[in-house]
Amino acid sequence: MVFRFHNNRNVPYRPPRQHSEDVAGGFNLYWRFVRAYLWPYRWRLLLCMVIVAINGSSVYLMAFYGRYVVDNILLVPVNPRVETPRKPRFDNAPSRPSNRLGKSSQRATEGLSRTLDIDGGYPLKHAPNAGGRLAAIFILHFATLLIINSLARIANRQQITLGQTTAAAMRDDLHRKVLELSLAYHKKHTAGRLLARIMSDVQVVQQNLMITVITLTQSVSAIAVGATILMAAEWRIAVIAFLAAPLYALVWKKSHPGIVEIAREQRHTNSCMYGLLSQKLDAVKAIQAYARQRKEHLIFHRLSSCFLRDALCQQRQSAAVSGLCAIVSAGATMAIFIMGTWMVVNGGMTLGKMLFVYGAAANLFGPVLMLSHVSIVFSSLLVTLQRLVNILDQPVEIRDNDRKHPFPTPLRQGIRLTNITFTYNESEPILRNVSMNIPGGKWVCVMGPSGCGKTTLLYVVSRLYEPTAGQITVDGVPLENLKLTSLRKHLALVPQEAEMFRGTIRENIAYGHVHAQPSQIVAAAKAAEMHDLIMSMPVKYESLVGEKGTDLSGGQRQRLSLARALLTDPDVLLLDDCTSALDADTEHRIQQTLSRIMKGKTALVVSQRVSMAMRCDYIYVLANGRITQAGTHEELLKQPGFYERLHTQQTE
Amino acid sequence: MHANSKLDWALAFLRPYRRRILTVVILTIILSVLAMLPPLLVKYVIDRVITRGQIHYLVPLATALIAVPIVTAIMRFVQTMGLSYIGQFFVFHVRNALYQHLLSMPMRFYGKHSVGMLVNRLMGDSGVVQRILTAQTIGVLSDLVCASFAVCATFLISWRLALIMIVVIVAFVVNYKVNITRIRDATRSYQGAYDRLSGGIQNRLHSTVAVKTFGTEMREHQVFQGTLYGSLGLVQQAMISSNTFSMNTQLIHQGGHSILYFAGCALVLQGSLSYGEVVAFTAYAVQLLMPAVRFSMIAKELQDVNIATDRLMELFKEGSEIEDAADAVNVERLRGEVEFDHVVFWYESGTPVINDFNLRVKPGMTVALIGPTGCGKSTILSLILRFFDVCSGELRLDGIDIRTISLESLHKQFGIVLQEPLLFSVTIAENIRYGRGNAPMEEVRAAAKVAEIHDFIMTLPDGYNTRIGSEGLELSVGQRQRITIARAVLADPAILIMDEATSSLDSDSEKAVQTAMERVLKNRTCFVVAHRLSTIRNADIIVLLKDGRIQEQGSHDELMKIPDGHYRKLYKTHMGKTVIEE
Repeated sequence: MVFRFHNNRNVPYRPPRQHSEDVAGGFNLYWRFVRAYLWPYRWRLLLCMVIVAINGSSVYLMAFYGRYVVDNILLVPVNPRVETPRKPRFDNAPSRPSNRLGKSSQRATEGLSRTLDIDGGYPLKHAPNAGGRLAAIFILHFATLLIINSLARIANRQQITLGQTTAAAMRDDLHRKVLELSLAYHKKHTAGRLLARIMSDVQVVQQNLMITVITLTQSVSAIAVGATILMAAEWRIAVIAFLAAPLYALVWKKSHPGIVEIAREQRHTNSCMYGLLSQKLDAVKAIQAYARQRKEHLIFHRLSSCFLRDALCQQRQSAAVSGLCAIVSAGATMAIFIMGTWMVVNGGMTLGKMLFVYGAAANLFGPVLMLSHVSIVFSSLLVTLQRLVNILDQPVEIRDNDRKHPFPTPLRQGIRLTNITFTYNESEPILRNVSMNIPGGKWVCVMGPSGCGKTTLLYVVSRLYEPTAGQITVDGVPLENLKLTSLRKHLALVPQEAEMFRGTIRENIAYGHVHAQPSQIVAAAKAAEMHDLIMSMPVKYESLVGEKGTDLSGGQRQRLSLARALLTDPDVLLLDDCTSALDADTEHRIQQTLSRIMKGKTALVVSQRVSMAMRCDYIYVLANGRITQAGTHEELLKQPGFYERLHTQQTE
Repeated sequence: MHANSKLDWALAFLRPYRRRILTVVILTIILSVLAMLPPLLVKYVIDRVITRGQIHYLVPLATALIAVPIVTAIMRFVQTMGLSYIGQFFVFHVRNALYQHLLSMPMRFYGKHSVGMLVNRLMGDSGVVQRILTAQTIGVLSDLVCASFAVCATFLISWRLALIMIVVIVAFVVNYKVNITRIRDATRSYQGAYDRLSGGIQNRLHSTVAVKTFGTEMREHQVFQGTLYGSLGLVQQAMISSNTFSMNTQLIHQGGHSILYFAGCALVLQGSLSYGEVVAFTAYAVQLLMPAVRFSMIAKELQDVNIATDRLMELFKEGSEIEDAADAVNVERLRGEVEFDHVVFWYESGTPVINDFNLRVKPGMTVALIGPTGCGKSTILSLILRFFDVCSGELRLDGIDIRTISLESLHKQFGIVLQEPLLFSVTIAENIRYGRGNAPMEEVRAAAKVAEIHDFIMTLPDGYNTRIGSEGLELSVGQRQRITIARAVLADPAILIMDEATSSLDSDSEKAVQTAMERVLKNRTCFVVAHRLSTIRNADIIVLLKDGRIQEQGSHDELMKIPDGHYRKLYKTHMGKTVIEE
């Protein structure tokens, strides 16, 4: 049987799978997670395992009750091939307790065969006190059921609490780690994918981490108990059951690689669909404006067809496998049944025992199937674990070292950059040998064409990126020796693309300073020219802002983000062209306010506007990652170059 | 939502597969009947071969016992394949239809729903719905067939046992009634908690710069922990109540089985039943109780499906208020005359964003819209693109009411450059070609040159074939903006719309882009929103907006002549003059 299919998966927006998901150190990886998340609950887990093992074996106990009923109470007659009736010996069976277990009961049933001829299969006589004993067995049987059920209840409850608690612990760790990771990491990994790891991958792990342990216990114990009982009861029949096992193994071995392979491809297609959708729906404006709906629909159609093909393939495979397994197990159980019948008829076995052995053998195949299923689950679990480990083991580039200097305040010599080089993803360096000085209490402006590395420079100074080479010192202290919390507290960055948090405007402004007084918040909003606008809203500062600030225009978002930074009253303010979406009037007023409230404070400003640069004490011109010009406004005006051209354009 | 409409909705997607579905149903019924055979066969083996020693029955019975499972397995394979075919195609069609639907939704819709939520519905909920529409419905169907067969069989074997069984079934129903509301409520509340949890994560991950610069990682993490451990209790509650329910079900099932078996045995003792019949009866009882068990087992899932269907239909129901009119006309290339006739527009009724807006633009004119942020500039552009419909008044293109132009032909008229540059993670060339997929490479290059991005692209090792976006090269905001400019230029539109197209460019390249654009703008109507007055000085009409109304209107020179004019004041400020004067 061919289990490999080669579908065409070369469709737009579906790059081939990048990393081979060959899992390094498979079992170690698994063990690591078990140790980290399940080990603290090992006693509870053990309890679950014991209960599951007991319940798994309880089938045989149940089958045993049935056997006792048939052989020792009902005394179901068996007609031996030798049709001569024998002398009945009723009294034998009940008088000996050992009858229950064994061969002696055969005599009792044999003895009753005579009654058959009288009433066509309906035995007239039964063991003495049959009714009372039947009732007793019934009570026992029911009590066993109750016990098993309540044990299972306890075990399931434990499993649920355990599973959810471990999942929460994993999410906790992952979330903390993700927040710790540097901005560079976040730029590389989109939010959607990280979200998928924290939410859906953890869910997969949570379900399967426990299941592998529990199911393994269950099936192994069931197989062990079942095989022992079967061997003890009737080894000839046990042999038939064991013969079926290699067939299972063969089916599984043939099909497994194909199934895993296709499942991986399918998962990859699935995540590509997620990627495509979020990208396209984000840009639905462009799609509609260029009337591309039909083409876009076609692209999605192709990707989802790819998914469809793989899904059908996968289901064909698993249907084939389960069909084959069903044939193997059905064949084996039926063979056992027929052989048992033959043995009963030939007088080698009682009917009760035959039914018991038949039941036991049939019960044996379930756990075998389960075991093969566990191995499939295990291999896909490893793939998921690897994805989680990729996050958990990602080194945190930017963290406190042992020095933990507080941020020097007030700033004197200021911030000095020496030969800073920054390379992103081993491509062309974005900053090359940049050296600059931002003296305390002074304003420094960085200008330059787009894509020249201005934003990166701000990120490096605020230690969101770690420079590839070179050093930054703050009042002589290397930046990496500063305590991060202290650095963040004294330094505020206003990014070019303002970020919003779901919540009210008040909460958004107070983001960096939660305990700010209402008057302070109003003052910050006024400084950012945002107050009047807020007051014109129906519920003013309590107005809700969506995640992407959908209700605010680009300029309003920028101003809100500026107000947020101003509220923290930073010693150093980093502005990344944060007024680009504002009209000239507002921009001008903000510039004036800024120069008033930031008097004596240090600022590093990225701007495209000469009017802003004129307010700064010193200006650097950056081009292609290098500093090409530096000086004060007047000095730069005298040199021909970028700044002078800019000035002419903007004031002509 | 009404159960019937839900069913209708699903059936509409399944209609093309009715033949297949019929086949599967027939197969299922045959399979159910086949499943009835083994207990019968076993009964005969016990009653005939074993108890009566009629050994000649053994060979045919044994053959049947082996043959039935094999036939069953083969038929089940065919059935499963048929089912998965229908199920997968169902999801496929639902997703495609929903995606197409989403692409045609107006901007108002996207203001209301976050993209993450839409993606989740499209991918997640459709998968959930699939589960019920195939295996489960057919499963219940086959169970019902089994059950009706089993009912007859059980009554035929022993009516007294059958009565006991009915009591057991009643116990199932009571258990279901008692538990289902609790499960439903618990499921709802924990799904809500999960939405909040993932919403929070997404928000944080989108705002990493703010989180990092304010050093609020730990605070954010504590917020997360609060939601996380808050939802933990809810999830556990939901799962435990569904566990209680299913354990009850199991107890009723096994206990009922046990009662039936022993009652049967008692009847055997009485002499009114053979043991073979007891075995057969209990086997049938299992079949008969199966639908109840299965139904109980999927009770939680049914709730999930129920909710998921609601969520999907909610999206489908959300009609696009912007649709082609019945008599929509297809237009060829427009000349580019735009006329606003007393246009009023509001997002929320009562607070008009555009108020009595009148403007007449002749073909080939460049119109600049300026004004403070939030004054309605971008809204006017959206109206021209018909992302929204005017609330009152009329907007005419070439004298035709925009609402009577078919959307597809309308949208072929525009080239847009928006505030946020919208690019896709394909190659640069494909991004530039977005508006005109078949443009030859020379034109792509020419457009890139106009947008001043050609030189940059040539420095890349793969040039125009460089992939951009999350899997590829990351571009700065300015570079992205220039690629969208190139795209608009290449589209060769009748009307060009630029919303802050150059805000992230340095003045140097802005100047260069402008010079190059002049040629492109010639003979083309163009709407420009900009904050930099230098950008718009050459416009034919400058419209100064305030609170959705026109404050001043005219060419640069005309406006500069108005003493104390707002534009004049603005212009002076921006040029830095006032700063110098201070």
